[in-house]
Amino acid sequence: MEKVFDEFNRRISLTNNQVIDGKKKYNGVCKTVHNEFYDKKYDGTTKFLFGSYKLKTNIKPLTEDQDVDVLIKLPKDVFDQYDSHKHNGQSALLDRIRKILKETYSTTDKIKAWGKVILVTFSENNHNVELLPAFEQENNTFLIPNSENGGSWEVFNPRDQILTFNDSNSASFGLTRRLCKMIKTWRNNNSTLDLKSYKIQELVVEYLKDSANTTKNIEEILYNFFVFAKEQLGKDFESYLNTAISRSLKAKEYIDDKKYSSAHEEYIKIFGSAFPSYSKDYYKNESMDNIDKPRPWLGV
Amino acid sequence: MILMPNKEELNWLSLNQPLLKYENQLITGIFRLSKSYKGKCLRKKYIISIDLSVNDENQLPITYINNEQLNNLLKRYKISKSDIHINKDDSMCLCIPELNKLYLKKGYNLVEYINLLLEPFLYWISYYMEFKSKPWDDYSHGYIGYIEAVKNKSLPPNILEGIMDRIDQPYLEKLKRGYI
Repeated sequence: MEKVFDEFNRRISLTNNQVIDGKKKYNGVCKTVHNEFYDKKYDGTTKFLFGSYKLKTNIKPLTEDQDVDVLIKLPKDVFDQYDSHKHNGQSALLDRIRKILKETYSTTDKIKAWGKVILVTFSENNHNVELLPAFEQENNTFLIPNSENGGSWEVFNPRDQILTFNDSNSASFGLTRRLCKMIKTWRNNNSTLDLKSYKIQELVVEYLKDSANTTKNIEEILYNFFVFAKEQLGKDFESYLNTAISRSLKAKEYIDDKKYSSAHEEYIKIFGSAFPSYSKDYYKNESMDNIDKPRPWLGV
Repeated sequence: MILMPNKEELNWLSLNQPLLKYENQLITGIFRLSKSYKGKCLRKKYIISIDLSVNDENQLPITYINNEQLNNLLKRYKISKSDIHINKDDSMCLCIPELNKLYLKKGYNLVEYINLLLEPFLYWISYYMEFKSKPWDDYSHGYIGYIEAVKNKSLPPNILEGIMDRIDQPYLEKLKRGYI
């Protein structure tokens, strides 16, 4: 069963070309803004990637909602300039950056600025870039502009989230990332389910704090996760999770009974067509009957 | 010296054990066992660390089981480390060292080390914990194990000699005289 989920993971992971495309776009956007505010050549150090692209939890197929979250670090004097505005310097800053990007990107690409971000929507609607202009503080947090309600500066700390996720992924030997991707696929397979990606990441990290979950079989991990998620989330998610719990329990039971074809059907109901269909090749008898087996021994 | 994995071995690892990663002389992560023997299929996961640094080219890597997982297993199944052939330092005693050559006929390589030594060992201990019986014979601990091995008449002479070299003289005399 683990090999089936390996294949599933491969199918939902971004291709190299998609990763390259995303990188090209966010670097392009950041370089454009960088060149406006710095004399030195852009080398990527003034950008800070966060969100799903940083954590590598993005999945196929790409949708228009999957933006690349990136912030551009701006010099202190820019902060001083816009902080001293009488009215909503934050909005003025976002607007300036929107205009800078408009000069570079074609008219078929849309660029909008609102709230805290500038969104660059590319014509093919893949890897749209959501850019936050930001000012790095001594304590490693960032100040970002919020143009709403007359304008203000907000503290933003993406590093904590990244550190927590990476620690979890390290401790679970990669399971945190894999599970996030699977649960996102489940979410996307339920068109009316509004469960944010950051929330999925939080749930997975919390669930895997119990290290015993790391070494369970995959069918048990999934079933237990859905049960855990139901306990954590409110009534709005109950019916979706009840369905997922019921299906993953059936799949688990089918696996115990070696009814693998039926297990695949349940997982396809949960995850959609990205989940591999049954093939007996996945279940070729991996027997040790015909090999010489060493006899364990314990030295003095 | 370090038994550095080559590109083919790393590709094999990536395809067959994707939760094991090589870094800094170690292969660490989760080993996924899914094997059957005489119809009994066992699926388990073990957190392991394979130390690829060795003293000489004849030595094999030592594999350790994660201490927290090990303690949980010992507690759950009410067994001791020695019951499942784990040393005090949590390293696995895959087999009598001289007998490695029976399985790794062309010398060490990562794929055969995992397939022919490590995996059967993990199956053996999984079976033992699950069913409280041994799927196939083990060797007794220490010198008694050597003696049992020596009594195995099918061993090639060079391997037999290597084992006998490890047995203290008094025991060797008794063995030769048939007292043990």
